[in-house]
Amino acid sequence: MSQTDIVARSRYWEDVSEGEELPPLELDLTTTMIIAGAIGTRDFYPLHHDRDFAQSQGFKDIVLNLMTSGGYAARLVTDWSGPEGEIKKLVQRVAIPAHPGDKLIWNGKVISKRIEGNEHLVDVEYAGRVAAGVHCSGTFTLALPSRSSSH
Amino acid sequence: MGADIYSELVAMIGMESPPQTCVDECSKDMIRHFVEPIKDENPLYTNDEFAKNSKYGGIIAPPAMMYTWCLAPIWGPDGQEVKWREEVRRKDNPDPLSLVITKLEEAGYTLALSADITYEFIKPVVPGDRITSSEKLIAVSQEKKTRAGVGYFTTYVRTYWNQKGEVVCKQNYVNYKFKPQEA
Repeated sequence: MSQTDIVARSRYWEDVSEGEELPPLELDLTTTMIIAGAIGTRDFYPLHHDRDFAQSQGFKDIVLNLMTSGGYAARLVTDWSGPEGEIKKLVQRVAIPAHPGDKLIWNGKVISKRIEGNEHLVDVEYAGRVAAGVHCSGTFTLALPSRSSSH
Repeated sequence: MGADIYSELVAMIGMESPPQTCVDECSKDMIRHFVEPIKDENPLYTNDEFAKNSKYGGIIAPPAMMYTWCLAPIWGPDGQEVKWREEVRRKDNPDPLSLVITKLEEAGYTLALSADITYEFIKPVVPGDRITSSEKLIAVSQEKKTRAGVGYFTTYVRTYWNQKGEVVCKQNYVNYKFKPQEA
């Protein structure tokens, strides 16, 4: 995947069908990635960078923070839609914590297509899973360009 | 005792935090630091030339970055030094989340989980923007038992706006404050 690939993938609303599955996004989480995510989101809660603190709270290791998870989920969706896919809404539910060493796999599926006012919308359901189960799930609403209203 | 806490929480519904303005302006550097661990190659976030020719006319911040605009710094040149954001909230702002957390912690509900977050993105945040946000308590549950323990769900809506006063995002947030339950 590169910037050119993402642009080339750009989708029109007309080309999307309900039930379509998004190409999965697979990540091998490391301590460095989790801490870089915490710093990049300015989230200094020790659970996301301090293993001793995480263990004192009953976790086996540091935990991927919410905003970085949201960033991964958004990447799953815009890697598929291309940059013209405008994120209008994001619902995020975090369940099982993700830790260093986990393989985190994101999947998504188009659950509906609709037109609201001038906007051509699609709803995508997504989930990120680790071996222990669902880490984070929810939906995105995206506005896509339409062939009928391209300018 | 549980019933008393519940009615005290209900009495707080509608309470709003004082607006907090982010110490940092949105910048290309902050955007790059966000997308770096995510390895997000969306050119709207990092490619000036592509972004200039897009409908936005320039680089935009990833929408998923929104909550970062309301996190307090852990140090400031004015001598402010704190361990992490919840302490800042509690010290400086009588905001509903801090008051709910404090009240529930005093009653022994020491653990917390974010149950559900919904962001509605209204306008992109762009480099140069300075974001202000404020949070309002909108709902409180009765004491509820879950697999994690027993505690209270409280729901907040946070509104984000830019320096022109334009609302850029509304975020609904559910917090579950609980204590482990003995088997």
